[in-house]
Amino acid sequence: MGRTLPPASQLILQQVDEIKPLYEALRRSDQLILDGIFEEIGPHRAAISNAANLLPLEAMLLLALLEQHKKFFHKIDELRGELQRLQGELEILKSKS
Amino acid sequence: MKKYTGWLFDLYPDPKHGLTVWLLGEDGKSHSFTQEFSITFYVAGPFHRLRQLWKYLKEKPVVLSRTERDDLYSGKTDVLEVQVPNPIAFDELFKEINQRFPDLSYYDVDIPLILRYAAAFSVFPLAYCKVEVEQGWKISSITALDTPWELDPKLPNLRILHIQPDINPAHATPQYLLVEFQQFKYRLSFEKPREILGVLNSLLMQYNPDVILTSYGDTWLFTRLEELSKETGTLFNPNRDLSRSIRRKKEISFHNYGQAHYRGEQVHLFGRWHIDDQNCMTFGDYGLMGAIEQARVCGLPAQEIARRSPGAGIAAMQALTALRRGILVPYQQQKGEVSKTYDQLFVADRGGLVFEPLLGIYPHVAILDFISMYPSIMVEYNISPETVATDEEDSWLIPELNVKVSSREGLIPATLKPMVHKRVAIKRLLKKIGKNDSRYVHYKALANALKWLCVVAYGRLGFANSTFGRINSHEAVTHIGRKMILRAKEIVEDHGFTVLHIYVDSLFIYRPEATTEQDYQSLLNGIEHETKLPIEVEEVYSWMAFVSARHNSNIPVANRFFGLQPDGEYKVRGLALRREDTPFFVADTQQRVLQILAIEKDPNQLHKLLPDVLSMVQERLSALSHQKIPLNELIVTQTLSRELDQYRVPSPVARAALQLQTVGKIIRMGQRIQFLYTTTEQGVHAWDLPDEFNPALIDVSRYKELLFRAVHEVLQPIGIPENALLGWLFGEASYMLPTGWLDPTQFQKSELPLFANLLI
Repeated sequence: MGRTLPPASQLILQQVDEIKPLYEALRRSDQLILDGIFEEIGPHRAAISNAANLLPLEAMLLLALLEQHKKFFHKIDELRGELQRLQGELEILKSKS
Repeated sequence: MKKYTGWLFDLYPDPKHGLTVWLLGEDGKSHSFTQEFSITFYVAGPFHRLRQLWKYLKEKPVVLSRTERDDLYSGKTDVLEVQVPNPIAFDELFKEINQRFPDLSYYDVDIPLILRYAAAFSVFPLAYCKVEVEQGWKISSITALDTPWELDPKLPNLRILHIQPDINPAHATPQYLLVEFQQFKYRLSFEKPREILGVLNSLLMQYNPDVILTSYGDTWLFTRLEELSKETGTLFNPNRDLSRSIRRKKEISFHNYGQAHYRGEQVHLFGRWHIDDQNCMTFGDYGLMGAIEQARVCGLPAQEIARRSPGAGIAAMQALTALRRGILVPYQQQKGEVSKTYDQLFVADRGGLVFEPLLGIYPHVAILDFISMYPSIMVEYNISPETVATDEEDSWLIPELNVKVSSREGLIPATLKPMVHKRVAIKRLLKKIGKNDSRYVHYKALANALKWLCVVAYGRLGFANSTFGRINSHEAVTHIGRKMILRAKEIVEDHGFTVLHIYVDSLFIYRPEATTEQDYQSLLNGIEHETKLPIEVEEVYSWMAFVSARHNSNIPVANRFFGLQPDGEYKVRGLALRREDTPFFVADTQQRVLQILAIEKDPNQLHKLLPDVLSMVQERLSALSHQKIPLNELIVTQTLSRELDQYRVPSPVARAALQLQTVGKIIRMGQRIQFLYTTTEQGVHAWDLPDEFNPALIDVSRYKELLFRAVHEVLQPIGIPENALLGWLFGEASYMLPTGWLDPTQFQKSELPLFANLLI
């Protein structure tokens, strides 16, 4: 096993290498964000490896999107909770006044 | 005619009678018999060449005939059958004809004698047998009264003699021989060789051990005893068959699963076993009990299988099944890979599925473990070299690989089936009886012995030199394995569990309210029903910590974790204390940290134990700085991965090995070299050098670094950043921890407002 195919971690590194021209032409602040995106993809190596029918970059973009959605929903949940808390406090203040 | 019952103990060729067979009688005595036994092998090839071979062999003492035998892949095959009446003549004869007729295909030629015997009489090593003897000591019939698959076979009470030198002879010249049997212990000085040989001779005569267990017996002790015998003129023969002298097998270096191994010269005895625990591959995992189990299951002699890799055991089992089924065993592997397109290769050439763990510490983590997953797949899904990639009508298709699998039971599933069933039964029994049961150690040894055989069974399918291997079947096993573990993951998530980690055949899962094994029963039933593979809850851990990569605390690492069991013990994988090259001092300190953490069952409270951990570690560091750690606790043991002349830049282990070579020691690839890190120019000092070592030369900072890494490895999942620990242990910072600072589930996001500038 693994005699002929690179492991998923190697595939990720290869993709990082391939997008280097794109990466180099970004501002440092954007480069750091892109670093974060690739870091988040790392733990999904099993999924990349299992998706033999997709190109590695396709799988990685989907996974980046997945991580963005996760963060997004997490933030929405946090905001919803905060909103509920504030509404509750507002109700209390209203009832006091 | 006389009848005996007992255990088949040993057999080997006899120049006059064919075979010498040793039986350990139920009467407690060892019996030596003889038996006529011929060796049969087969030759295939073009008719005119077979004709030439026939003419050549006609003058030899062999019986020739034409017959039809089954080839594993092509079915009925015309072959020339050659029967050699005495086994002792076989090796020379085959060597001769193979040189003269190298273009012919040979079958059933490199099969150990005991396997031929096992196939002919349906017996096996240590089988409980009934033997009928006529004309003095000639066996007329032998019948096994048990099978290798019984959970509690009746076994003989072996008389065991332990002998070993008082020190590793590679390190220093031994002064004493330590002898132990029953409740007796002796310490005999090598300066009195006559006394040593006298005591050993008298023990061999009167105690008459069945097994001699030694340390360094293969590589030093028996050679030394023979030298003493010559020097003093005192006879010494450790064999039970006194007409024989010791049989030696040459040393060997080889690669196995990507690692270099070295096996020293071996000393085998006749009518008695000799096992050197220092010259065995996996003996340490299961001891004599496990070696006996492997011998019974594989059909190889115990003194052989104890030293060899489990792969040799599996190969023997396959050959035995083939012999019993009348299938030809080729001399060299014949079937390669069935060709495939690149797309098919891309899908097929993959290993087991690994889900990286979710970092942090989690309570009530259960490990669900498929018992012997790959062998179970081979048995349940009939994966064998000859069953995969066939065109038979009743075959079933693996669509992703585009290969069909025959429904006719294959050679490998037939070989593995009883062993897999036995291992599953033992594993379930172990679970039932628990660790406190007196039988636990015994069954655990059996389970470990069988585990090693199961582990390599899969590898043999894809091994280039395997007699019965084919990469397509190897790929089919991993493919089904991946499918099954993903199916299990779905079921686990359907039951409301979170999957923390998947490692090939194990799922690490948790659900806060599932705290006992009973909470998992319906889940297990569901998975077993879906996958047809046996699965069990290995343990529900009080908590389990998943460790990140050293260079980046956000990156998880597969199979690196430690989990606290309810009984206070740990399951540890991938930590420093599990690695062979970790010095005892470092491994022991890491173990002590874990012992302190084991007090706390609630992972959210672990940080409260940090002061105890830090104070212990500081004591250890202080002891190291003040040379209070014994030198032998600082030894680093590493395996030489290549021959010395192949190193372009010598690593520390290669430098230590070079030092040994310089003083005349013979160094081979695969040998384990022990050394200390020093502040000298070479940076190392080989432990086995004869000269005295000055402790002031120890590279204290190197050991401090190793210790620091090991301690951080187990504290990092709690949320301790590397630079904070550096400050606490080596800097001026005193330990303080703000409330709520450590959140094990979010630690990788933690910043260090208080300690950010503490980096040393």
